[in-house]
Amino acid sequence: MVDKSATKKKLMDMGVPEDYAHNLADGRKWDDVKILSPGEIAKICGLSSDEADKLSQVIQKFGKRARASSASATSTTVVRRRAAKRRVKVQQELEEFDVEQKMIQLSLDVHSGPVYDSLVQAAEKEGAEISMLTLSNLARAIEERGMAKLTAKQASAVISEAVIETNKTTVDPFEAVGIITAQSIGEPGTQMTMRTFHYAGVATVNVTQGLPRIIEIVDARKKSSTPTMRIHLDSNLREDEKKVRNLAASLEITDAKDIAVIETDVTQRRITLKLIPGNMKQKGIKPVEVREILSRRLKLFIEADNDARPKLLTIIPGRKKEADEANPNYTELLALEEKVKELRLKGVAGIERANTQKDANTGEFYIATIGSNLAAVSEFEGIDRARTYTNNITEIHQYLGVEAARQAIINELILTLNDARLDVDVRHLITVSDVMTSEGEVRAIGRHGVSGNKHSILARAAFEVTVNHLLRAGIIGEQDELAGVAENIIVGQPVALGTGSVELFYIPEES
Amino acid sequence: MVKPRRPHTRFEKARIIGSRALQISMGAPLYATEEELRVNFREELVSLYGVEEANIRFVLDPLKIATLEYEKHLIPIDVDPHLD
Repeated sequence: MVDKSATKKKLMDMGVPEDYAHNLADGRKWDDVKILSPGEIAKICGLSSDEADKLSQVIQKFGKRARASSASATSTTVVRRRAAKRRVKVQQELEEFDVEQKMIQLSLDVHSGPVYDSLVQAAEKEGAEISMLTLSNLARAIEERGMAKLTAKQASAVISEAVIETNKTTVDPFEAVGIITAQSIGEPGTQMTMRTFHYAGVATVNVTQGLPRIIEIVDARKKSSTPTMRIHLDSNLREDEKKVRNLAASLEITDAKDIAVIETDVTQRRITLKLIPGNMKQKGIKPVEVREILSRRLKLFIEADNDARPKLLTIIPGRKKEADEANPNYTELLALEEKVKELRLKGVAGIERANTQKDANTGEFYIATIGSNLAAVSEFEGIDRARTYTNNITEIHQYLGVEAARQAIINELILTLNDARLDVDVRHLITVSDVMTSEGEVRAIGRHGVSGNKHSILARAAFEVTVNHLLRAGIIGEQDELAGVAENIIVGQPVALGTGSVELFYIPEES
Repeated sequence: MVKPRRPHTRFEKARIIGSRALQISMGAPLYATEEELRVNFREELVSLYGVEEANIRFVLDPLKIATLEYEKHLIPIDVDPHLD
């Protein structure tokens, strides 16, 4: 019985649900459980093979770790066990997209009423494919002009006019959309250069604006110069300022040098940390915790002037336990000093500052950060992952995938252009984003991305370092399909765009 | 006579009319009858030659003839049917 409950507890600690843990622990010791095959697990717990596979992976992984740590440390201290436990991170399941809820939410925006209804009827009668949103916008505009009702005739007139206007906004196949996009972004861009390089001081968070930001996005930089996040919280947290502040403090990165004066005593070969109580309170970290984290991360014994409330911590390189006598040399001391200074005591890697802010419209609190780490922040409890935002496109790509990255590029472009009061049609931005992401990863526009990876040799040669491309192609015997624009211009053929795309056929008269 | 299988894009229209105009300019026989043309371009012929001679003399821009033929679906040319 003792065996069983211990094994069960161990299983549950790894994140195995209680019922399965109970069944698995029944009559088995831990050593027996960890060698079970997925098939056996499926049988014992009555699970599908997929779920059993997952469960077995969890157990195996844990089994290995337990073995490794028991081999290395004969006497496991309390501190060490906590370190092992902390690393077991259960990744949150993806939330399923609630289609019904979304539809309800969307239909709330629809401007319903007698005008809308008659428009819908007319559209159905005419067989016109006009979206709900367009119809509702039309209805709203009509009502704003003081008409509460429409006759069937009026409605169908509106619809047929709307169809004509909709067709005007569509683009013919083989239209040179890319060129139009380039011009449509380029022209306003020239105006932007003149008034950039100042910062909008919104809420102490400075974000790169204007042309530099556009260049950053389009270059698909791995690191943007001013990453920021806007972290929204779950409904039970967002009203409570204090809780939000605590969360912000736990996100914010805290170095040893933030909360202590670090001095290196060269003659005695040791490092002392004079803790600053005020800073520690602000960062929400206790002296005992600092000592614990330091000793865990450095794997050294940390001497304190007072065990309950230490104010002065002393670290000697090489001194692993209290009883150890260490005689470090000068290089070791310097290496340790560097390590201590950069040591992260608390917080999420990358989040330099986290401020609590209040949304003026909804009254809820959210956290605005300098620095960004979408993956780590998303795993935090109490965070509304659906609304949490980062301006770091690379992170969005890594954590949420290309489709999200595509939308992120569009969003960021719209944001920067709107901030500069430039009116560029979204469809141009969508084109840019699609070109960047269509290959499944975020590619830069330019030498290292889109232009440099073109399939055609002539197109690449036309772009940059002409001779290298041609020489290489000549050596390995590459072929050029002459499918693109640049190739055909070089060769002197009509380009497959617009009129050039049409192949004519003689259709003999049917007699 | 020859109806397009689907409405042409403006590129296709331009290409078809252009090709046909080239043929006409090089002396190809017309699909539109002389009578049709005289009716449609009456005003232009009058302004060119005066009312008396408008029914006798006949010189017109091939592009205009091609456009008329296109609009009346007289040109037996269509877009490559294999591409759609």
